[in-house]
Amino acid sequence: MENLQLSLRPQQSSEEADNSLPSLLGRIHAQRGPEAFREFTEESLQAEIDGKDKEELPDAEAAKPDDDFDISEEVKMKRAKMEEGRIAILTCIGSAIQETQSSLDYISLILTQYQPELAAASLSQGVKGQIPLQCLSLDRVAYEPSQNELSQHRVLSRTWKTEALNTSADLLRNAGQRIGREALKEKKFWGEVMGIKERGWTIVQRRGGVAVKYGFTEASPEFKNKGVGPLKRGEDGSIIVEEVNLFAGKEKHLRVRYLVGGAVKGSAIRQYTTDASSAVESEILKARDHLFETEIFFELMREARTLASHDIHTADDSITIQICRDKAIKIDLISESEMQEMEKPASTPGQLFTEGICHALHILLCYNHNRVLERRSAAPVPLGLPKPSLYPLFILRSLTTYLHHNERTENLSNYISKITSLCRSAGLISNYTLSTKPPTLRNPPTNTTSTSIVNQFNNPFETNVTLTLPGPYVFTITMSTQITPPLHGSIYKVTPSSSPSGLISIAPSALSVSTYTTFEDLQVYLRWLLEMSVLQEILNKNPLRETEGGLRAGWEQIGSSNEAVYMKGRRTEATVKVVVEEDDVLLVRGEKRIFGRWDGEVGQPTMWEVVERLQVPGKPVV
Amino acid sequence: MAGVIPRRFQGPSLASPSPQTKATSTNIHVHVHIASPLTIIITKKTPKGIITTTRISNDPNKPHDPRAQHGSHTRPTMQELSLFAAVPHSRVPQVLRILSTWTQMKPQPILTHHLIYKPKRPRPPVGTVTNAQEMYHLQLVSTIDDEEEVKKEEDVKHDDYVNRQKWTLRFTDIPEGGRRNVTSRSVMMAEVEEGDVLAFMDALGYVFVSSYLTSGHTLIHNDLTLSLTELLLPPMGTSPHNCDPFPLTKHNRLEPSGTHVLQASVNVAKNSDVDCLTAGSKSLEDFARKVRGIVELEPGDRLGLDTRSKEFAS
Repeated sequence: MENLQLSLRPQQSSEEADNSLPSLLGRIHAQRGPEAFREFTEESLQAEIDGKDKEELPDAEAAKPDDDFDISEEVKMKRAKMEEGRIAILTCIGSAIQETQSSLDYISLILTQYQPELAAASLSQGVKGQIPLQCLSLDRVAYEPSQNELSQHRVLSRTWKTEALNTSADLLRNAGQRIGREALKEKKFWGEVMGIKERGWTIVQRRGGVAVKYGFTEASPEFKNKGVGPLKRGEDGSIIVEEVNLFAGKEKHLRVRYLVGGAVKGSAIRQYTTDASSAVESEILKARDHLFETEIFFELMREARTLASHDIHTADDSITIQICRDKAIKIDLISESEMQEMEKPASTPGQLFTEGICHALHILLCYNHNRVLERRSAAPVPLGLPKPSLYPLFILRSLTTYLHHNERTENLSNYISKITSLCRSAGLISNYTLSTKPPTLRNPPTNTTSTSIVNQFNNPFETNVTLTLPGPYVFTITMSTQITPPLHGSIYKVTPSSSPSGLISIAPSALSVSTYTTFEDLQVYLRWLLEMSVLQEILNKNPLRETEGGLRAGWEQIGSSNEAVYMKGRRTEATVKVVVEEDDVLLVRGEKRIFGRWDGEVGQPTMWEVVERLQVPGKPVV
Repeated sequence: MAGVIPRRFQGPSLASPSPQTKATSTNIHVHVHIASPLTIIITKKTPKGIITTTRISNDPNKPHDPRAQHGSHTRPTMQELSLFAAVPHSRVPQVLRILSTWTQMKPQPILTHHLIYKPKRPRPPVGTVTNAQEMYHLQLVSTIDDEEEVKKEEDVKHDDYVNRQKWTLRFTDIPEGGRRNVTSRSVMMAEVEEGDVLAFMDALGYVFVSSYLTSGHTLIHNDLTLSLTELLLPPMGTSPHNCDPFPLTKHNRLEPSGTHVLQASVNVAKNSDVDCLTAGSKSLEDFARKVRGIVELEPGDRLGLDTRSKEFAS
């Protein structure tokens, strides 16, 4: 009971409670709501009171058996203990009241000496009746302590002083040790800070402390201020990089996937190699890489939204670049855990291609950072003139131009090679050469900086095909690709060589330069050119002229069509039509039957054989 | 014509309203042809029959030439707002470092050559233009490439210096009067695209007075151009024909103690654009407040920046 603590503050009197009618009304209103006094009669009140009694009664009865049966021994012990405690508390309170009362009486009795009226008021009735007032007094006593007492006091005070000094010494020693420990921690902290600085990181002041700057100065405003990590001292004095810890384990990586017909042919993530000297630095490096990856994705998204017309779409937190109908590049951000789930891909051509794209995206962002720096350090545009904006950056546009151009070059080269093989299978002369500017990524130029390489890829791409058709007639097909203005895609220009003189007579329009914006249009034009040049070959071989017997015999074109007739005298011996069909098959046919058909396979009779047979009437045609 | 190039910018030979004018200097016939409002072509015919042409242009649509003088976006006219401060030689590296940190870029070294010209004779008053007699100095400004780089080009002839350089003809007005927080003056520039620039100046009626070099560094921060430079004077007797600045050691500092001048400037496209002028001077004042204690930037002395010519060359 020694530890029992009691408040001696008087209990608040319940008499002070406000029982006035307005207050009661207010409380009833608050308790029972606005409906309280509606249809309220004496009977209803009585009924309510009775109802309450009845409600309470069963509760009390129900509670009783619990007391008898359910209460465990432990609870009973607790109750007994509580009862004991209650009695003890009451005893203590009683004695405290007793003592306070007697002290009050004692002091009041003394004070009656000086202010009898006032002091008497605080005397208890019992004392007042038994002891006369002003019978107790007090005064200062001259007291001379004895030598014994003095020495005792001295010893006491000395002991206390010693104790106090000891305590102070202990405190100081502790403080000293603490400072020592702190100093060691600080030394370790600043040593590590210097270590980071010596590794080339920028240390800046931030929010009353120091911070390491790992972001990119030339990043867009959304990312510029993110790359600063305040350096805090840990428990043992080692550095904690606050911002970095925020996304530790949540690092994101840019994933590039190459889909052909919906199947993943390659999947690449930039693998960072670190040469970090410490754990802190590797953390910072990780944070920087994370920042760079997210920045690429952010910039790609920003750019992709402007390029929907070039088959670049953003959906499901990913960007899809549709290269052609069944080939697509998909770019998204994945977390570390998803990265581990990825299978290790084999080094197939598709995988190498995907890795190249992934590298290109990173290089292009660096290149754009350089552009921002260049722009920032160039002479400013005078105020009042429009300031050209650098955003969105040139990442997707450069890459997509390259991809589209590559794809279209492949299409073009396939088509041209098909045409030439057609002609060769028909025994005609035809070939082509192809050159691309700038060089493709497969064999990049050497001895140049990354900036000069990227600059090369930012100019319009150009592929030149020199096509020799039977005749021989030479045409140059120039394909330029640029997805920014003014081209907005690919453009095909077909230029005849200096002297396609033979074609003038039968197809004058082949002489002019033709420009097409779709590959399909170009195909139609090339088919027509082929038809015309083959027809011209037939005409050249045996043109309509007077023979030895004075007869006119030979081939003649009908109008300016792709048909020719073989005339002998006034009689038409044969009619042929040169057709290149849409599935790229060269046909020499009459009105109802096909005389010759070439689809690129060797071992068929040449066109000359077919034509010569036609010239001889009655000779069967294969 | 007068709407594009202010009257005071015109030389005596250009004063005539006729688009084609003939001016005669000693034994040389110069034919001035104004091809477009922004381009002037001068054809020079010497007694030996040699014809050379000079073309100057201030066409704003022309692509920016990286070799052009720093800070000169080729605009016909600009209003230049600026503040100046003197930086003692000992403090130059420190100030440069502070500014470099603030602008987050490396200081770009700059070396420019200035040739000062003044009019030969008073321009005859035309019409009722007031201040008809007021004449101004003109400057030919060019950025000099790094000495090392020039040396690499082995077949460079020293006497070819003037024609090798890319010159910009610059006219700077006297700063506007009145109590102002920043110095405000209009600047007009025209790039010399091809031809003999010295003959052109002669035909324009201007005569060479002196030359100097400014050497130092520039920094850019948003719209603010900061240049920390010092003035170098060529040795006595330098004329435009032998003004090759290399080696630089032959020059003397204008300020022997090596004091540099820090100029903070903002260009405004139109001097009637009050909003931009206010924004420009505000950004200058903000900058001055930021660097207070490091350098004390103040408006320049108006009369010290006077470009008027008090007397004419004989």
